[in-house]
Amino acid sequence: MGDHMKKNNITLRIIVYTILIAYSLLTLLPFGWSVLTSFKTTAEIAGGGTIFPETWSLGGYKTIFESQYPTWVLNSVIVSLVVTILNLIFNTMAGYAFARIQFKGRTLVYSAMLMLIMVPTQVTMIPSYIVISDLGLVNTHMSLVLTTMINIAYIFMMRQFFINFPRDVEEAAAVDGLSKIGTFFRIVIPNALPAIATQAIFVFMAIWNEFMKPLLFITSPDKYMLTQGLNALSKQFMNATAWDVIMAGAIFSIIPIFIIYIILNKYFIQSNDKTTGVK
Amino acid sequence: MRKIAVSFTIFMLVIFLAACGSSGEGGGASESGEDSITLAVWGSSPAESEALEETVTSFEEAKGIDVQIEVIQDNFQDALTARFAADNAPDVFYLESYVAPSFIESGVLADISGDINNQEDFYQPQIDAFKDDEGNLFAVPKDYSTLAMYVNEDMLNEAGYSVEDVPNEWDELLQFSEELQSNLDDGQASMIFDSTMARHLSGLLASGLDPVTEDNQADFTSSNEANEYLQSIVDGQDAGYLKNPKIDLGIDSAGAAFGTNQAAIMIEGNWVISALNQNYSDVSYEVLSAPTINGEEQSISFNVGYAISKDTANKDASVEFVNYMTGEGLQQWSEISGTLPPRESVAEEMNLTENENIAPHVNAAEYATVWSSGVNLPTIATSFDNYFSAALNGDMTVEEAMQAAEDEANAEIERQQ
Amino acid sequence: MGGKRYSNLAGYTFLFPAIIAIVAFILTPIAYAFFLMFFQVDMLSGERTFVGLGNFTEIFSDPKFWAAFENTFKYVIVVVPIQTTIAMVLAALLNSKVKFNRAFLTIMFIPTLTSSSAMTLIFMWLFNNNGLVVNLIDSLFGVKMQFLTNPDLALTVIMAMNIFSTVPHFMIVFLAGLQDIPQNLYEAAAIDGANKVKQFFNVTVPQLMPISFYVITMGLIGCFQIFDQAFIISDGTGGPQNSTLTFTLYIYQLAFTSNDMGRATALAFILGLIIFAVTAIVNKTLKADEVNG
Repeated sequence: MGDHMKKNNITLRIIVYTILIAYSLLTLLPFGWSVLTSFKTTAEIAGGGTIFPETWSLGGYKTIFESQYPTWVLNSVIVSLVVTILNLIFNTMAGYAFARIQFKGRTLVYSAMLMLIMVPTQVTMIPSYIVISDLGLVNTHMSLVLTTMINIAYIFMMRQFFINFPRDVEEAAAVDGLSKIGTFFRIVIPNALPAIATQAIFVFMAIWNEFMKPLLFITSPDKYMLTQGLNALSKQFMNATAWDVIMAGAIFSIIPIFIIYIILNKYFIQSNDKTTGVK
Repeated sequence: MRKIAVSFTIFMLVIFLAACGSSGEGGGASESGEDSITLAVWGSSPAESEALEETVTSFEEAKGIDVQIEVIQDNFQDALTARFAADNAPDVFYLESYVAPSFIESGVLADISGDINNQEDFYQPQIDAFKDDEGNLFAVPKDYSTLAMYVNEDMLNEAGYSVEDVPNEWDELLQFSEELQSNLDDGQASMIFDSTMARHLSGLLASGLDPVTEDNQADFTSSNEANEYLQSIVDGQDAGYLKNPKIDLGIDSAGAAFGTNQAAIMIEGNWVISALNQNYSDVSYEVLSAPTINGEEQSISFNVGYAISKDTANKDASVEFVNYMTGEGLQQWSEISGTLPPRESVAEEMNLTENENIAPHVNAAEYATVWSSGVNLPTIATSFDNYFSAALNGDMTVEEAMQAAEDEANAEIERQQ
Repeated sequence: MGGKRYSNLAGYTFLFPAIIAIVAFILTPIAYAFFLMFFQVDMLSGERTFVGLGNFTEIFSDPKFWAAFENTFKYVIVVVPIQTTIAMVLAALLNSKVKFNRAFLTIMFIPTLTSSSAMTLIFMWLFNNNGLVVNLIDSLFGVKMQFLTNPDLALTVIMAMNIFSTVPHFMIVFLAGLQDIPQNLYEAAAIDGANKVKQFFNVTVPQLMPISFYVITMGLIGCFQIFDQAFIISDGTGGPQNSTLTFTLYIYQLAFTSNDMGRATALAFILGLIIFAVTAIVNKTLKADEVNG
């Protein structure tokens, strides 16, 4: 019987690794393609032909560095960091309240919030602009911060995580005389790091890649966000897209996300010796 | 716990105060009186950006009026609509002839009929596109692009032909393309085409069909000749001598397909010239007039003008600006940007017709159909594009597709009433 | 401690910043938009005429609405289950003490980093009539598949593209959820003689239910609101013959081609209701909230 189990295990392992390796290769393909494309000339990309560049060109990168690229990166980094921090605090608190605090009107407020994310953005774009314009916030980074400082989708996600969260620890904390806020910051947050890290990376990415809002709200080039600036650079000709610039820009623009991702990576898969969710 | 609640409240207040603080700065600039105007433009090529900046600087120096340029990179129409909806419209902005009728009908543009100098000097079709039914003028063209036929000399020579062999009549051109195709490689196209109505309006008109009737309804069915014209495109694609760059070649633009020797003939606007010269300098080509259809000269013209918002607080300065940019400053703009000047006198001054590649585009300014035809053109064109692609992929015959397009467009127009 | 009243106070304190921001920057624009659904509106001039429920009757009598309805539902039914399953299985595999799981995780995250325009370009490059995939199928089976012009196949390409780029996102959400499942549940199952596969179905799947509900709901919302890919592949027309017309593309056409914001918001309202109803049904079926809560 032991032998049988082992054989089974080996087969299972082979299947697992095959799936993982195959899927990894599949995901690496488009990315590798983008990297290689960034070194081609605009003409060669249009030709569509080979995988490796026939002539290695730094034209795309040159265009980027001759622009206001550093300013745009700085704008994007500052806005994205501020927005991410605000989101982490506010979304997590709200998600926790919906999952764990019994208060009057909870279901009502929660359902109402959920309904709001079901409205497609195509119709709210112009009204959003009207609100920002009435507040006199056009062409300020504050407009981006205020409109993205909370995200209902992640309030929802945090709620789902907290529902799964073992109750006994908080109850013990309550017995020890900690207030709800105290429990939240001292007990709940340290134990919810995987979920918070997940939220952090996605919120950061969402604002980093946000396209429509900067387009509508920000009008002067020195205040551009990175995506907006790169879009401006790629519009070199009315009828031929400069893909080398787009790809070079795209590769540079993912570096900060990648750094944050590497930092947070450890929370996604915690050390395997952990026995229960909470200790 | 109260402490934390209080600090949050303070935090929120700080955010809102900061918000209001910056609003003061933002609001100040636009109301600083007669000597400053805002200009909204879309993002364009480096040459056009440079041309705009330099011409605007010349204007500022000449007239002492400050111009604030606001570049809207993408989705220009949506962003502009948002600004009008928020009563925050720019003083002056770019306006495409295609959407001009709906802006005019909404009544948000300033009537500048009496304000613009030397109106008879413009190519008349170019400026007429910005007039309402009574002939009042609401925008002034700054440049235009027309379609012409680009022929790839190297590909032709390799296949044993020369540029002189290319006919300038549509049916003969198709025959020639078919012949040429058999001498080309598999991944090469004898001629590439675009399936949108924006490229076929003049062809339909030359076939006796005006797709937009006098009472602004769609009509795709009243002319057999028009069906035959569309059928010739479908046949060409079926036989493989007409190819769509995106679908058949996987290339996102016609200019790129042509520039990389994957297409021998294309009918495109003069905007491809800068791309061909800069990115595909190896390709040797000649530019000919777009082919005649049913014996008629035809081409489509896409033009862009300056419009002034009706509610502007700076109308005089705005008018002065528009007059400068389309008058005194026009040559400076046209020369640096490489666009075509809509004034005949400027075109002559620049000797444009002596440049063999540009002459066909300039000559077409007289006879080209401007891509603009009433408020319902966007709806009508969307229906055409939706169903003509069904004829191209063989799901419908041309007759069925055009009937369906007409029905859909007219039903939609009915709903808009 | 203060009991009920304390709980109410605590609840709203936690929600305070979120509610302020939502009311000002999400609810207000939506309320304004929905106010417009009873009017015929010209956004440029701001003129509006009250038409009551007129916009709704016009929508329901429009064949384009039903085309969009059919396409969007087809899309949702295929994409949501597939992306949820793949994401969950990959997360479980990565969490199962395989070697190099960090490396795998990092690599698999990459598609979310590749911009959607680059992704579209790559797919165009692979699937055009002279492209890699078409030529491969042609040389293997002798069939010319026209992926981009055949409406059914075009929709399939869009579906594949969407699944490919959303799986990593949801996989990471699942992974984070897996970290919260107490190890002793697996140990107990192992003692009962359950193998890894059985453990997955008996412990992992039910324990992940709240997270799955989140993933499914967000997947539903994302798919019902599919816009970019449909817009790119049809140049915004929804053609051929409305076969790639989705709800949001139709909303966009109403708002910006027909310049009819009233009808666009009426349709947005209908879409919101549909998503809400479907989500509620899914929630009831999965009993997602009843696991530990």
